[in-house]
Amino acid sequence: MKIIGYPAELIRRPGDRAGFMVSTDGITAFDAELVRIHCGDSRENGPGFKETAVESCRRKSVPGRKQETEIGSCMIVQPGPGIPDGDIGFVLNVFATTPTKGRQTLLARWVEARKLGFRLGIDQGSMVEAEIGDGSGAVFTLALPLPIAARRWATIGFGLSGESGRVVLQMKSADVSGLGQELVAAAGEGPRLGTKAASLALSFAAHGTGRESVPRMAGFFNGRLESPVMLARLPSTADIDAYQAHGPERVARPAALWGFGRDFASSRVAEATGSAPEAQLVNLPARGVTGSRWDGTSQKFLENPAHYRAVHFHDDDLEDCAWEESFHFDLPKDLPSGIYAAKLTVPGAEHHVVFLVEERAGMNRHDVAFLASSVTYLAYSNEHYDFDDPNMEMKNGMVSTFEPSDLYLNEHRELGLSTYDRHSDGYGVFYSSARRPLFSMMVKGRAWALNADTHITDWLAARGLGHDLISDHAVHAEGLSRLSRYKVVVTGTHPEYWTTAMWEAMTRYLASGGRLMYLGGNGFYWRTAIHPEKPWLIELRRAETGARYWDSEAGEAYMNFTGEFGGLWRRSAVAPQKLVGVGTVATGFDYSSYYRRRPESEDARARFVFAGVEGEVVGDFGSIGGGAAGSEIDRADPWLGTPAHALILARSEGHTRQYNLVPEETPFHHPTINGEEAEKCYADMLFFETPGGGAVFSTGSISWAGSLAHDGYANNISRITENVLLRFADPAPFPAPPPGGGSAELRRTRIDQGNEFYAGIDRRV
Amino acid sequence: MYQLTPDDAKLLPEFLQRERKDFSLELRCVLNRLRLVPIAGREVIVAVEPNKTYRLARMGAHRGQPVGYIDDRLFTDHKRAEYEILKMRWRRLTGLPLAAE
Repeated sequence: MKIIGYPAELIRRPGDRAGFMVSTDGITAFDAELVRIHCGDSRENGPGFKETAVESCRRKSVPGRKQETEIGSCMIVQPGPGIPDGDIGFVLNVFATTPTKGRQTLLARWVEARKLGFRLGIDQGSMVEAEIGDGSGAVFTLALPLPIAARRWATIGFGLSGESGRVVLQMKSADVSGLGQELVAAAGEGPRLGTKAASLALSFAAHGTGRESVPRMAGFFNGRLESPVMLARLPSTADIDAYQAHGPERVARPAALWGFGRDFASSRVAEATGSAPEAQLVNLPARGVTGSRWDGTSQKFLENPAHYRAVHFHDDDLEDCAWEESFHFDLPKDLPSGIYAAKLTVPGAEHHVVFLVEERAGMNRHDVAFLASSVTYLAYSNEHYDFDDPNMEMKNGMVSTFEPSDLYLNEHRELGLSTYDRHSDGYGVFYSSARRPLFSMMVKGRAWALNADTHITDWLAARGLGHDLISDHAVHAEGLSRLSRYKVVVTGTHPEYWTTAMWEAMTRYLASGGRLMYLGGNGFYWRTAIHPEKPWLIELRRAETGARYWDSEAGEAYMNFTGEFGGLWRRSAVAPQKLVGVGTVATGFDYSSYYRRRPESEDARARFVFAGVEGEVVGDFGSIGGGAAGSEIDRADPWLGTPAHALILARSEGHTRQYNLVPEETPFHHPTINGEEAEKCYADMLFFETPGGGAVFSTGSISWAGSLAHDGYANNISRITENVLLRFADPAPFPAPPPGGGSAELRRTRIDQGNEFYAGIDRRV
Repeated sequence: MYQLTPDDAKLLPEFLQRERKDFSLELRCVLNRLRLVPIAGREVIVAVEPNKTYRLARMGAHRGQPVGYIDDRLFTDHKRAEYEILKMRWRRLTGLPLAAE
């Protein structure tokens, strides 16, 4: 890609300043214009790419240059009087996850370009080594005789005398569940540093290169460090023993202690003795992870912080590309809310930097709000699973097919990972940042996430249905007040990631007469956190169960941004069936199917949904797999909270063997969990009323919106969607449902459902 | 793991002859086995012009390494490109010839 960029802020409002960071490759200038994206899907079987320019926002010949990104996390302590210049020592626990990857730094006061200072690291042969250089070019190296083991805690002591040049190294196993290891040690005499390194920062998990530009740091360590103790002397075996037996705070006469067992959401690490500077975590290493003392007695870091005083560093962590702003637009005050992009053009190439413009707080221009899944868009950026996960081809049932932007992302790992990926050491990715190019928000690519959601914005525009755009982030920050201005809220195709504040806001909205159209599948699935101070960051944990690409490690189910239990909403608090009537049952990505109407679609309460719709089968067409029911599908389940008065209007059928039940639907696996054979592998189209005259309509299918534009928008999916939207926008309250008025299968009690298994009443031929 | 046998070769042409949803269980077993190959060096498809033109390619040896093209052929039929890759994997895994299409 010759040109690529990201917005300074993912979500803007009319009248805001919208800045853009752009990097070019071999191009010195580009043009930029603001465009509104109505449909981002450029495939021939879709509605076609549609954009309109905002004439007042154009830039000509914006200077372009290559902007670099520093990837990899570390911790930095700025030079200061609290760092000893004479004798200095360190004791800390180390958990190396890729000890064979090559030279890595555990801690350093080192500048590579000058070979100056000291550095403790892991060498090419997995040996713990110390390097001392006085800037002359010669480097003294001391290594332990045994390699450091992978994924085993070890306590390491390291020290050197600035005056005599004496260097000591010690290592002892700190694996509480292991068999132990004798202490190994080495000592030698290196150059006398004196105060030569006094101006250098102290770094952990990486070392300085001495460059003014990227890369400023190198030697990134993969693994965990536990609360380092700094000494104004060389460490002894007594210090190792004290650290292991009683913790870092019991090491005698510390010069500094940077304790990781507090302030879990912060990138600042306080220094406990008060005599040395605080430390700064760079590029978002993982917090709220187990340390050496974790023994399973607590699963929550806030409950027993001493078991969680570790930070997991990765060579592919990224918080912020930190590119310089290239240009900005002053958004018109009367700009309609919607999906927008800075369209960047150079000869032979263009790139849309997509961002959202939402209504200002306390304002609305329409009664209908499209709720853009901004948290979900972040969760998917920047996914590499088709490159890195060996099972993706099996899951898709098709040889992996990459577009040029995929190839670019694969080769530009500095743009960071998604919460679907694993780090280079195999551990799952907890965080995603909006401060980088976001490939999940690209248009003209796959019809997924934002690009698929433009099928809905396109349909709304094509049908002349005025709407505002609001974002997950606004609902999270402002709660009910953001939703309550609207008669109808329409979701995207895949509103998968929900914070607690979002969930509570939607619950209150529906409890007070709001109307929700859930036009997607696999929604309301993962409990997610937005960073309390940095809203461009999200976090999640893949705990317990769910359709997931990695598992949270034992003891790491709680999110360090908020302290909340992570994982599925179904397992952590409330199942989506309670909110929208349906919840995820299966995924599959070859064919989408159709719905068959049920008698409930003729119920007087819901007759408006199918007004003007002929026939029993609906949605047997579409641009996502050829049907309206597919990709990821949801079903009703009274056990999980589908209201007893809900009406299942239609149910999909005929799914393929590529569909498989999600793990939480089948606690043990067996041969009949695929779409052809599973008893309950279908999407339910469902309607129910909420208190105060409100209502919910759910489609339970990601591919629904891919059918809206079929046959010039004149089709039964479009008709059903419009019927619901117009009725939901009508202020006339929905009457309270009659007792016992729901679909029969929803009215059973928990005990009755147990009997269901015996009676086999769902096994209709 | 399913073990490919020489007789399985005659199943592969079904890949082109039927819609995916109609594949026989026997063919599905073969396809699943052909998909169980390491990522390093795995054959993939590059949509050089998305949704229109395809080339056969191969994954790099390590994470982040570029995908390299296998040959110069251009395909306008994605399924045909996929079939060529399945044949390559068949030969690589079994060393056996394929039945005539």
